[in-house]
Amino acid sequence: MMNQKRLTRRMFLRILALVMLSVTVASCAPSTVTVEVTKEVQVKETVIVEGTPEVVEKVVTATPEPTPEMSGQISILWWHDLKYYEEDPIKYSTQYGPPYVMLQEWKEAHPGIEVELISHPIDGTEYQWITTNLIAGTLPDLVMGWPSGDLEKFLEDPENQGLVYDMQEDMQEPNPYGSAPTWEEEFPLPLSLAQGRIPWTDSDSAHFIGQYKTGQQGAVVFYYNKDMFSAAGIEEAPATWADLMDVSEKLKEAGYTAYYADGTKACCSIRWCFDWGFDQLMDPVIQEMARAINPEKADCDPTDTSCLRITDEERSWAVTKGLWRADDPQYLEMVRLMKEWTPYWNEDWLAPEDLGDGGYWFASRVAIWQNGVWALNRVIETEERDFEFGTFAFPEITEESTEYATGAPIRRHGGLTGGGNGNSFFIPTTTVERGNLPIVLDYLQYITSAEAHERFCDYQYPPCVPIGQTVEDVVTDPKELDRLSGFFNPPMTQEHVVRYLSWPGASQDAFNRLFIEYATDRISLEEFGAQLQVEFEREAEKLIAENPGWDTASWPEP
Amino acid sequence: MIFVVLSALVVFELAPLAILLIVSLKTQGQIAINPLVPTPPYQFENYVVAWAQVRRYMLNSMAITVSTLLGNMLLSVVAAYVFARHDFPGKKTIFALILGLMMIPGVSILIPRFILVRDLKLLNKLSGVIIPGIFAASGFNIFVLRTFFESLPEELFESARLDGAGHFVLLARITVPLSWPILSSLSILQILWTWNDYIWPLMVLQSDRLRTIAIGLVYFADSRNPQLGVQMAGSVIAAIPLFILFFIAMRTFIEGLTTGALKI
Amino acid sequence: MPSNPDASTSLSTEVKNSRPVSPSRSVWKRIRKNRALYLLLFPILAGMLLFQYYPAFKAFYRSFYKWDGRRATWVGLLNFEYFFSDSHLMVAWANIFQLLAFRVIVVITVPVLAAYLIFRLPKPRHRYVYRVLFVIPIVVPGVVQVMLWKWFYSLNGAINFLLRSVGLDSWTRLWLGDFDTALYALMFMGFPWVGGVTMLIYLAGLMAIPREVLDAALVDGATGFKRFWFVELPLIQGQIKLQVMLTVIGGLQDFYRIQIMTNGGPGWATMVPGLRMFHAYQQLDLGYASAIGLVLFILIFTLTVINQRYISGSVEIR
Repeated sequence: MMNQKRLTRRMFLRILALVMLSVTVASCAPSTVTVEVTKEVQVKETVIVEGTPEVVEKVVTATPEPTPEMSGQISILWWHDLKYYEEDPIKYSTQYGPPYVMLQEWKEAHPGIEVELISHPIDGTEYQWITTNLIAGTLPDLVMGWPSGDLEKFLEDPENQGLVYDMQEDMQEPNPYGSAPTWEEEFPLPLSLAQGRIPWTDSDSAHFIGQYKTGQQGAVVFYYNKDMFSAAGIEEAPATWADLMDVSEKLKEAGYTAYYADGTKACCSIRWCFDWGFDQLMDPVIQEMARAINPEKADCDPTDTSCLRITDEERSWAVTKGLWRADDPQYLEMVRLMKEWTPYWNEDWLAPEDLGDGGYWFASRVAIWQNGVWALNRVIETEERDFEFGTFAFPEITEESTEYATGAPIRRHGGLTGGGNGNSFFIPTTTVERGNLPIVLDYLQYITSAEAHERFCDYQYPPCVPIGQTVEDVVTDPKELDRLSGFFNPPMTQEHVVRYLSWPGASQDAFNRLFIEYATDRISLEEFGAQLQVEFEREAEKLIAENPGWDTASWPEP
Repeated sequence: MIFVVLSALVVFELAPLAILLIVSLKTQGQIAINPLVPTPPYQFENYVVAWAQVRRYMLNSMAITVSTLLGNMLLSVVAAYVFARHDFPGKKTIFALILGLMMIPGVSILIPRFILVRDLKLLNKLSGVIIPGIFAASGFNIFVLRTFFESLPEELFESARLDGAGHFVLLARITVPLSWPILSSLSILQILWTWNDYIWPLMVLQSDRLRTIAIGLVYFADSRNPQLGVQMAGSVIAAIPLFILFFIAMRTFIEGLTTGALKI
Repeated sequence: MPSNPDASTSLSTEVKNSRPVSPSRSVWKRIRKNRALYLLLFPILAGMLLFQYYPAFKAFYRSFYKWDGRRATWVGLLNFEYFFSDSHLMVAWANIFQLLAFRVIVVITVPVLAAYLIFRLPKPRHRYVYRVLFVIPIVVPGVVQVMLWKWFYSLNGAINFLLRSVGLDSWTRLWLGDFDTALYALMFMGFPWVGGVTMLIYLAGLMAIPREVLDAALVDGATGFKRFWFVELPLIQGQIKLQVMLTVIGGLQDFYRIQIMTNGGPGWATMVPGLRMFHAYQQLDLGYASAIGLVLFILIFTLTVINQRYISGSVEIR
């Protein structure tokens, strides 16, 4: 009897353990990355093969030589999702066409390799997610992103060194798919975007990242409905802020809504306009902020945006020292100007419908829609649009509109070094631990050879403009020139990239909400400035507390 | 009179569902003209499109819900049995510890738990939702089940013990069969809770392939030419599993509720 | 199932007393004897400690840090200083208490009414049909209802469509984008708020009332409203209290609906503390998020204790 009792108890416990185990196993089963141990040996051979010169010469051809000895499974995280191209080649061809096609080619050449594409929505949490997973070691083998200041800042932090594989040495080796002496030289040189070239590596940190695109660099414009403009008697796209107000008024008189804005989203329809406007009206402050702390930046060319990009430390300094205040008249002036524009926005801008990207514009419910070059292909090709369109850049704010006009050049998002360094890749160190590095490197080399860059260039629209030429030399059709006008006036060069005066993070959120309160007459402009100033000071205080490394004691006076 | 009030309540309660069904058969253009009245041609292909997209999300949700339910119920039943039918040193302390769980609001521990799951390398895995989920609601379940198990007549246990039954037999042959209604009620509540959970899976599961139905339906609107009709068709499809469940288990569910254990 | 609860309790106490533990045995011996029980409790205890208590502890002490998930810098009470000087957070508290008050009032009226009316239906067949009809909506995922209501409220949504079609054009507005209506729109969401499960729990409570009690009440002349108020309502008080408590606890934590509907806007018109916490998490300001979480915890804990000690403890229904 005793025996039987024990047996049942033991049996029960065993069953309990089994069930627990199976639940756990069942739930763990569909994990992101499967690692095969066998990979490592074969992979080492590949490295050697790639290093040898004969192989280099062999694979200079367009299609990659099959290297059947390479096998395994890798995962790639692509900005948004590379496989969107499969679902909608028109809408996504500019962003995903060339990389998608090249990935297919590369996969065909390496039948032993399985590629899993991981996607993440661009919903404002992507960098938070990437950094979290980078720490956790759960990122895919290769990450293609659009490095924002956040990600760069994170990777530059000494605490986070070693999380990302350093490609520096590989860059000094030849790219087996290329013809230049080193992989680095496969990358086009850092010239202007109109000339279609940008650098491959981040300026001063050793771990980053290959650049894969050459032509379009994410410049942001206003797309407009040309038919509506004509119906409202507007002949030219606005060049100044006063023009923009004039155009908006004319559209309104003709029964149209001028601009699509979404007040519920932190980005971008409203926020970017502010970024561009502040860049103009706050130019003297920005110039001083950018040079104040870092001695290396003291000699920056006033037009060199990558040099002058404002850092958190500089923002904190400027706020602490009172150089940059939310209640500065020239700062508030931009807020006032934007409010003047709001009556021309879609009536429901405080809670718009979910019609998808550009839904209002394609449905002819608004005349102007802000978006980047990545939307250009869809705008041209899609059947959603039944009107002619043109583009224009954020206009210059002149003395006609405000006494605070500075005459600073128009700057906008995108373009060379804009938004970080354009599209880039990095390889988490976990990939090396999994033994997938050689496979990933091989893929990267395939898509970043000089020839691959040319293919990207050919694919892209607006076209890559060779060095020394202008867009008129490349595009002759006047209609096309009109369509592309916003991308080339001002040119997509270094001196026309926005310098990011505004904070990322909490005070940005407060800014958006305060602006809505101001725009709906719930607070005055003074209250707006006073309340935002509290947020600024809090942000600076927090950042200083968070960064004990900053030498706040020796901060200079403005 | 009763009928009038009840019917009015039912009509308003069910109106959103009716609109859901109507909209799920419309194109974007048809919705703009009249969102509330069904108009031909009926877009049944909305369901075809939606099914292709929500299929995977539904499987994920089912895997998560079933695993969480099994794990949670198993552990809760065992723990409640131990607390209800046995006396041992430290019982009060341990029970207080488990009850204390009910006091910890999920929202407060959301972030540290996320960091923990990250450090356990469970991010972007279904287990990152399942394993914490097993323990999240167990305080409530143990509390309710203990009260119920205590009300079971001791003679049954006593005579079984005299026959040499161990814990396993006592649990599987006596406790569980007698508690079937309350177990099914708690299970249904647990299923509803897991199936509808939004924030935690949103934080933990990032790749599209692993999304649950709740997240998948929200991200339906994301970028790919969102069609309200297709989204609503997806919602209708997503409702089918729970509909079947309720159809089958409604009676037991109510029976379990009437045991009166669900009160304080 | 025992029909008389008193009998079973007395029985079980009796039985427990019949297995007295010899005082001569040391605690250790009793622990050894019961080791299987500890083993049975081990998995749940370990899991709870790891996934519930450890994060709770961490939330507590990290609220004194500036924390991005990796690097933590001690900042003392800075997070709480922000917390109490954050005027927009005060708005959020005001919002959540309005929402809570509304939800509590709803949960003790509409579902009770619905349950009672069903209970009073003479034919079981009818009871069954209505029960089913009220429960059907919960099969739709909660998030779908939120999206559906978001669309109802939009400029060209169902509500404005209805208003226009009955000629009330001047009543139409952007319900979720209007400072004056956004919060009320969130409250109104889910009308008529019967809530299948809540209603079922009440109904179950009513059905559990012994026949004799109702008969006795009838003999005493309690009919109609009197019977409801003096006999039936007190007898489902336990269920009502549970629902109120769950509503308060759940309501304080609930922010995902608001996140989808308005994300706290316009301005801060629909901001709630939980959502502010979630935003802090998205901005990687985890220390501040933890501090908000801690305050929410203290609040919920206090409310639960008050509820246990002063409300449910005092009126125990037998």
